[in-house]
Amino acid sequence: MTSAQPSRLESALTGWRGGGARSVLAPAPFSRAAVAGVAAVLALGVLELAAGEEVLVAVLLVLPPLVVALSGHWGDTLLVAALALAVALVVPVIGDEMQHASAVVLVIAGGLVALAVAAARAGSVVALERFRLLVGVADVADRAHGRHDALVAGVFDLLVPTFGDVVTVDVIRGGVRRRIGARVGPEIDPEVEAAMTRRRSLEGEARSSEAAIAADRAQLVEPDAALIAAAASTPGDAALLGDLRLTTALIVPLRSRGRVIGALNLAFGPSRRRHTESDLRFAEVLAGRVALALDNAGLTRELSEAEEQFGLVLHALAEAVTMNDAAGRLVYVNPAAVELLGVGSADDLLSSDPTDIMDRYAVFDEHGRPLALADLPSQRLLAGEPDPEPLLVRNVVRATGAERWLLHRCSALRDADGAIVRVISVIEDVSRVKRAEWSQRLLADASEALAASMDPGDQLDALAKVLVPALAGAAAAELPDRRGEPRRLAAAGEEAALEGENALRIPLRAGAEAVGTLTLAHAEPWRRFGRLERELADEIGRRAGVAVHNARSHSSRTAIARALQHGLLPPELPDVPGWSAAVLYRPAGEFNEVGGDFYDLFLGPSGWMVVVGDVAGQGAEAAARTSLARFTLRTAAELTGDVSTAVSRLNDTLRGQSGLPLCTVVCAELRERGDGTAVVTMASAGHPPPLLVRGHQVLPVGDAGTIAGAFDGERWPAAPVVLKPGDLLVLYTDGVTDAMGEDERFGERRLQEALGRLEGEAAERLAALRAELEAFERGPQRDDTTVLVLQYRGGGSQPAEASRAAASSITDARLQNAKRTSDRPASASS
Amino acid sequence: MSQQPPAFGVRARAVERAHVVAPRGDLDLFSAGEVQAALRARPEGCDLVVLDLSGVTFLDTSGMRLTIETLHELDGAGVRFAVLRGDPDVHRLFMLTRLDDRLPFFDDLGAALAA
Repeated sequence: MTSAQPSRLESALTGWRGGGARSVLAPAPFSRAAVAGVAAVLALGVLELAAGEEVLVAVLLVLPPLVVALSGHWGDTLLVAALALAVALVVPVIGDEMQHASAVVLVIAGGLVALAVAAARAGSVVALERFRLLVGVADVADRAHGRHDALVAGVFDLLVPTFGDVVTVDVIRGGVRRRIGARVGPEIDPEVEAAMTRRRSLEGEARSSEAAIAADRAQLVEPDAALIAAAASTPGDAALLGDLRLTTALIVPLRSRGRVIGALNLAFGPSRRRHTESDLRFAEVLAGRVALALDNAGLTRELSEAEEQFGLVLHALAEAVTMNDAAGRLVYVNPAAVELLGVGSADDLLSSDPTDIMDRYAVFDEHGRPLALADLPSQRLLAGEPDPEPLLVRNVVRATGAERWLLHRCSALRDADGAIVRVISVIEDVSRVKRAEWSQRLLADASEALAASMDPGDQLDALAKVLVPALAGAAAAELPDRRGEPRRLAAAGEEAALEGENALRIPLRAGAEAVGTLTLAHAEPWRRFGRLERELADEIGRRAGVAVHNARSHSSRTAIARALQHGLLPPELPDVPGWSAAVLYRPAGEFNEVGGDFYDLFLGPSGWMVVVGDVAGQGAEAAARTSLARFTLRTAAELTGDVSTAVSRLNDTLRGQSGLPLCTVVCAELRERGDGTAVVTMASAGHPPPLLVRGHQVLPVGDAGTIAGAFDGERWPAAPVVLKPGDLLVLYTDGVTDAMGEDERFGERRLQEALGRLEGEAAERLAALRAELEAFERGPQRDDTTVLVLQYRGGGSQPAEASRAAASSITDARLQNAKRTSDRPASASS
Repeated sequence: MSQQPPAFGVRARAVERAHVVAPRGDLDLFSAGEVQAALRARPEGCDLVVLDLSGVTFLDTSGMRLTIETLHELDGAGVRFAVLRGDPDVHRLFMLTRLDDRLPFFDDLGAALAA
């Protein structure tokens, strides 16, 4: 076994008679040539007898053995040569004895030559047959392309039935012997083949292929009943083996690269042929070739398994992996990639052109710039860029609007010349991380924009510029104008998109109150706002709402001024003898854009004085001027007791201020007359005329002059109105008539109609009016609302018969009261 | 935005030696500045500035203040000022505040130019 391969091969090929028995591969001893040769010899014998003296005929006997040796088998040659010699000896020779002897010698010599030729031919046939088998194994191995089953089947095709009636191959894998194939000859039931394939062991324990494998020694065995009984695992198995009537079996280890990888088992049965020792030696050589082929196939197979496993791993991988060929076409896409790409099945993707696939998306870089197919790293790699950087893209599926952040990474597989064979791309969905990062950045930018100004317009303008194009293709912010209707203060991007169906409208919230609206839209109709974008927009809406709110009303100046304005209004009206008074005062709230209403009721030098006014303007400035207006009027009225002078003083004061502050005001003095009526003297500066309510009649009264603050040197003549007991005088600001309902304002007509209908005390009527007003109103009102109702009771606390003296004493009291009031610090309430 | 009022805009043009400023839409807190800028951008040598309120859909105290301020400014500059009345809703505020007879209102540009 350790001898050099060439000599083993040589002896295996040529040693056809080793052990004294002929190889099963040797041809049969006899053939039809024997019949022809015998016939020829006999014919020559007959011819000799007939010809008599002809020497030539005897000499011709030398030819048949030679011819048979060249054309027939070795047995034929032996037979014919022997017969020729016999004929030459026994046929009577008429002629020369010397001639006869020479003929016999010639025939013997020719026969020997013929036998030598036949033997040589027989040997070479075996050698050729063996060579054919060895070449066949090499050929089969070549054609099997590393496929185990093809290789084994090819080997069986070669060996069955030529070298065995039953041939099996076992291999050792993972230390365990496994039968990988069996083949039976044509005389045997094919079911036996299946049984043999399943069978673990053909031979007895000691002679099993395992033993052969373990011993690494080829064996020629002659299975007898005892051996089969020992080898069979079950009675059925024993019957199976018994039925084969095995003659000989060769158990040959398959050795490759110095190790045993299995066993080749060859057995004869039904054909009754028998293996020889020379067959065993040849079988060893043959097994070496088979082993080498199997080993190579095995190696290849292990590689294939690795590839297969690699494929399975790729298939199961959560990361999206795609492979493009050198032309850029997609040749592989794993399920994760199919899902991530989200635009079709794997088959669809693999059969689509790369540009077609790209067209299914809108792809942008981090800065929102659109990207083309050629910008992707895989394409750049194919275009010759040696090592493209990973690329982070925002990818939007056009069909669904789904948006993701994808990180494209790729590498090339190159051939020996460095040419790209495949481009492998790994696409990672980094949306979660990226969106979180992006959201934080956008929120930070938005907050910064909002904090940069205290002017709502500037704030919203800066905000819109931050949001476009980072969050949307277009953005606009609206705040309600005086009429409560949305007014666009800022816009950026493609404004037309804002009117589209997919526009996202977010309230700008300050606490529970919506102060405006932010509208966002994508310019591309297929883009949608995802959950994240909506949440982000909501948050931005909250921040913007608070910022606008703060800028509008909660700047410290505004807060102080509003506190001043509201705080200095009388918390409750003083008791006015002979009169019932009630007031409704509703500040418009945090988002008052139009300045402030104010009112006052105080005792002047010659009677009670009432003031209702409205300072035009916005924010802190208007609030501050409201205080200024109220105290200017009060001071002037208390000092002079003259309503015209009080309004003129107010005008002078306002004219002295910058920014053209304007104020509408009605200032009235209430004075009872001795006849049970009262006179109200009024001066009005551009103010809605007070309403006189008598029974169900309502009448605007007074004579209004120009709004205060507009012109220098303006005069406001006073006009008297006489009130009877039970009459009401209603002073109000335009917040009442301008109150917005569903689609119109409350208006003067509604106000007058309500006042004409309502009955009861001043406070009751005012409460009822308030209820009507509030039932009418829709949405937040933009203006302060003030209604002051004075009902003249007449002589209640002041008897109708009151004398001048009494009146004068009252006047004195009022003067004292007025003096005291005017001495009090301005912050004190009357 | 169905509730969006007509877009605001200001058009200024020269008619004879008049600088005519015609705002369209709501003249309020949000747009007064733009109108004021247009009024102040009168060409050199112009002797009449006209504020045409006929295209104004809403006017609040900001618009009112703008009108008064412009009158004062032009008085100081010796330039005549004219206001073309808007529709009754717009003019209502001037009526209420009794400015209708204190401001130089005209029914149309012809009347303003002829005055």
